[in-house]
Amino acid sequence: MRSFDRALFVLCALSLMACGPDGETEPPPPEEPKQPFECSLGVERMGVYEAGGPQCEAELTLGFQGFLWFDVVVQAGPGAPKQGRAKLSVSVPAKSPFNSASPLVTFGQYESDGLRLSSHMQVFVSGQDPKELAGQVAQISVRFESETKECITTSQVLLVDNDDCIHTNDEPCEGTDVVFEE
Amino acid sequence: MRRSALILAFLVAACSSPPATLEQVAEPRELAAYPNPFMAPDPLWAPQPRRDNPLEIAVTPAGDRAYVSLQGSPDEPGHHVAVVSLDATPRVLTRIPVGAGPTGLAMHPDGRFLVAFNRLSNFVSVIDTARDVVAHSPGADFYAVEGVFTPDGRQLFFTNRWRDAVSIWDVEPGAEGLRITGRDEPGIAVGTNPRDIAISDDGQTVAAAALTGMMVSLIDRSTRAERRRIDVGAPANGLAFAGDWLIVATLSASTHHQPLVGPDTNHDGQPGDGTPNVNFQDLQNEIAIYDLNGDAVARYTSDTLCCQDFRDVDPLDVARHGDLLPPEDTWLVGGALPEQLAISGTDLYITYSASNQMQRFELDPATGLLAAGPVWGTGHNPHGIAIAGDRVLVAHRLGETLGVYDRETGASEADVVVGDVSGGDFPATDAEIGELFNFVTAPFTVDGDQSCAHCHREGGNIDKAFSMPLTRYGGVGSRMTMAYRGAADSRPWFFEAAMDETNFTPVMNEFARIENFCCTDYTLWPDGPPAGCATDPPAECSQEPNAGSPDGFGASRGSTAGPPHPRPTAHATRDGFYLNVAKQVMGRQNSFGDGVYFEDVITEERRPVPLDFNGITRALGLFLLQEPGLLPNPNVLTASARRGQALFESDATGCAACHPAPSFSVSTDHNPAGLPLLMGPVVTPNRSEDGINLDLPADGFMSIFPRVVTDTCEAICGAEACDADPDACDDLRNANFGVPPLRGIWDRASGMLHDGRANGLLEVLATPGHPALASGQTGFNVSDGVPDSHGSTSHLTPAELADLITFLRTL
Repeated sequence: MRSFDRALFVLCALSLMACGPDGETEPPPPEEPKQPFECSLGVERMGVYEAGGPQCEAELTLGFQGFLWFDVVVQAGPGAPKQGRAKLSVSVPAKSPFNSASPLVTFGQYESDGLRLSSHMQVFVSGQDPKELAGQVAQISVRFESETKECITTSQVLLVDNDDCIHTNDEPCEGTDVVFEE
Repeated sequence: MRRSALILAFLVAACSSPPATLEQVAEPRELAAYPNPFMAPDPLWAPQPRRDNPLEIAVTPAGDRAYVSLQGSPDEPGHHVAVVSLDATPRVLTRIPVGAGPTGLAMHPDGRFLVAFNRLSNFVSVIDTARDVVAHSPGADFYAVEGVFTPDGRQLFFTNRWRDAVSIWDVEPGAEGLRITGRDEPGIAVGTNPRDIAISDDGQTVAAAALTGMMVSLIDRSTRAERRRIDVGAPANGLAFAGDWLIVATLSASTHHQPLVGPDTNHDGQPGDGTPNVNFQDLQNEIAIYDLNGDAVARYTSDTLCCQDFRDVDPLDVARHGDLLPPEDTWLVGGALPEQLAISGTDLYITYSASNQMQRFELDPATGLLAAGPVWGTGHNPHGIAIAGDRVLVAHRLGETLGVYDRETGASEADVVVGDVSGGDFPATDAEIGELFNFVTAPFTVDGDQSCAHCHREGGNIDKAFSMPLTRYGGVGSRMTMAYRGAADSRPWFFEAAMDETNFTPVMNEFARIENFCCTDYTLWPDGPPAGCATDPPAECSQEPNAGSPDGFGASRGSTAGPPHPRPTAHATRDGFYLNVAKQVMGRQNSFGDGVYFEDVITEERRPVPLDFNGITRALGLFLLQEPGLLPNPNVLTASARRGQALFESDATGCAACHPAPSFSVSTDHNPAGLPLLMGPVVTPNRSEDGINLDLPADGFMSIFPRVVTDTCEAICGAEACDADPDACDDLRNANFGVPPLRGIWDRASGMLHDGRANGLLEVLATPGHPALASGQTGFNVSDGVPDSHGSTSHLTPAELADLITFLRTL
C-alpha cells in the first residue's frame, strides 16, 4: 500500500517533470538488454596490467584511520564504455563472502594493443587482520555496468602484505613498521 | 487503513457541522510529500511497513487517560491521536481521526478540550475529551507544531516551524468546543524551526525552543513580545519550567574545533571553541538550567565525557587542556540525546531518544541544581514523556508503543501498542534497521554518547558548522552540517561528493574507531595481533593502555601519544562489538536481506549479511535512500516566485546550469548536462590568517576516497617544492565540492555554504555591496575578489533578488 501510493505519486511527478515546453510526452522506451563486452580482472602495477590468478599479488594497504584495502582493475577490449559502476563479490577462505561497490569506474585511453584499463576499484577489508589475510587467494567476481553495456568476469588475486607500514597522512610511507608523527 | 480512507474519515468528521459559533477550517488541506527517485526496480528498494511513530503525550487532569499523537513520517504522515486507558490494564480505547502529521498536544487546564497540532494540515484538531471525538477544526497555518495553554486557560501559545514564530490565540472554552476570540498570527518571531514550548508556573513567561536555531525565546505574556533570546549553542529540544527555573534538554555547545586554535566558535574572544575534545568526541548530552530572566544557572553534561574512547581528553591532562573540561560534578547526564522533559514536584524525568533510556533527577527548588537519579531502559527511540500519578509514560517513537513505567523503580508495567505493527515489530526491514541506527546510534558508539540525530535533528541540519575529521587541518577547518533529507537525489554525498550509501565509513568511524578495540588496534599490534586474539584476548588487551593513533590525536594535535586510558570495551574487535549490540538492541545479528544482502554477481543469489560494522553502515545508507524525509513544502508559486523562477532558469543568472530540476542538484543519478560532479570553489575558500586553505581535505581521507578532487601541490608549485614541504602550496591549492541539493531548502538552517558562513539565502546569493544587503549583512557571491562566481546576481535589483529567494523557498 505504502509503496503503491509512493510509486503512483512519483510516477505522476516524474511524468509531469518530463513534459517538454510543447507539452509533448513520450512513454519511456522499453528497457533493452545491455550489450556485453569482454573484460578481465587483475591488478595494475606501474601502469601495466597483470591478469588475475593465484599468483597475481594484490597489496593490502593499511591507511587512514585503520582502513584496510586492496585494489583491482578491469581491462577491457573494444566496445567498453567510458565509465560505469562495478559491483564485486569477494570470497576469501574462512571468511564470509562480501560485496564491494565502485560507483564510478572510468576507462582510460586505448592502449596500443586495443585494450583499456579501468581506474582502481578499492576492496575494503577493514577490521580484518592483514597478517591473517596475507597469503590467502581471494576469489573475485565483478559485474561492470554502464547505461547500455555490461561485462561480467571472475578471477583471483593473492593477497600480500609486503609493505608493512601504516599509511596515514604521512604518505608516502617509508621505513619499517609504524610511522607515527612525533 | 488506506490513505484515502483516512481522508474520507476526516472529511466526515470535519463536515459534521460543529456549532456555528465554533471555528471550522473552510477548506481543509494536506501538504503533499516530495517524490522520491529511489523506487522499484532499484535492486535495493523494498516495500516498507506503514508506521505511526507515536510522538507526544497528554494526560487528562484526572490521570485516567493518555492521548498520544501518531505523527507518522514526512512521507507518510499519521492521521490519528490514540487514546489509552491508564487503569490496571492500560489499552487503546480508540484512535481519533485528526489532520495530517499530528505532533504536539495541548491539554486545556480544565481538561475538557485537547488541541492536536497537525503539522501537515492547515488546521488544528480540538478534541472533546468527554466524548473522545474532534469537536471542531479551526484553521491554522501549516506547521503549527507544539502548543501550551496559559494556566488560566485563556490563551494558547503555539510554535510554527514554517513561520519561525510563536502564534497566540485568545480562547474561551464552551460547552461544545474552544471559541477563538483573538488571533495573533503568525505572531512573535523566534529562532529557526521552533518546536517545544512551555509556560512558567505563574503564567507570565512563555519559552519557545528553536531546534535548528539553537536558542530559546522568552516571551512576556502581557506584552506579547520576546524579552530575551537565550543562545543555547546547541539544539534546544524539550524544555519545562519548574518554579523559578527553566530546564532545557540540549547538547554540548562545542563545535569540535580545538580549544584555543582556529575560529572563535564559542564567541569568547579567543580562538577555538573552548573545549579540549575535537571531532565527534566533543559531542555531549546536556541539560541546561536558566532562571526566569534567562541567565544561566547550571549546565550538566554526559557522565561519559571521559574516558571511554581513546581520543577522550582526560581532565588531568593539562597539556591537552583537560582543565577546560567542565567540573566532574556536572557529569550527570546518563543517556544520549536528551529529548523531552516531565516534571512533578521536584522529580524531573527526561527521555534519551538516542540510547533508548530515560533518567530521573531530583531538582533543588531553591537553587535549580540537579542531583542525578537512576537511568532506566525504554523502548525504541523514546520521545514524549508524561507523568500520570505514580507512573511515567513514554512514547516510543520507533517502537510504536506507549511505555508505562513505575516512576519510582522504572519497572515496565505495560507496553501498549498505539501505532502500527501490522507489518511486523520494528525493525521489520533492513531500511528500518538503518532507521533505528540513525536515531538510536548511541549503543553502537564506544562511549554511548553520540548519534546521527544529534546533528541531523529530524533529518534536517542544525545551524552549526563543525570541525570534521576529514579535513587536512583537523580541528581548525569547518564544514556546515548538512541535512540528509532527500539523500536519494544528492549522491554522492557530503560537500566532498565522495561517498554514497555503501561507503560513508569515515563518518561511521567516528562512533567507534577501530583503535578502541584491542585485536583490531593496529597501533598496539603493528605487526598484526597474536593468533586467536579475538577469541582469547591476550593480557595486553587488559593491561596495555591505548597507544593512540596518528589519525586520532596526531592529526589535530601534533602528537600521537594518547591519554593513558584503559581500553574502554570488553569487545576485542569492532565487528564483534557491533554484532553484540545488534543482538541486544534489535534481537538479531543478520540483516533481513531485503535491501542489505550479499549478492553473488554471477548467480545473482542473495542472502542476508551480518550486522557488523559494514552491515550496519549499509543499512543506514539504505534508510537514507528509502524515504526522502523532506518536509512537505507549504510555499506556493506566487507571482513573485514565478518571477524568481524565470530568473533562476535564465542564462543571465546561470542558476539552473548547476542546479537543474527536478532535484536542483547534479548527482550520479541526475546530471542532464553531463557536468563534473565536483567543481572548484564558487566562493572564496575559508583561509587561516596566514592564508592557508582550511577547506582542504586530509591526504589520508583522499586515499580512501579517490573521487575527492583537489589541486595537487605538485601541479601548483612543482615537485621540488612539494618534496621539500608537502604543505608548501596549501595557500594556493583549492578543494573541489559537489553541488548541494536545493530541494527542501525552505526548511534548512540559516547558516549556508560549505562552512556555514552565510546567514540565509540573501547572503549566499548577493555579491559584496549589493544594494539588497542591509547593514551588517555580507554578500558571499564572490571568489577571491571576483564577484558573481556563484551564479550571476550582481545585475539583479533587490526586488529581483527577493523574487529569486522566494522561488528557492518553493523547491
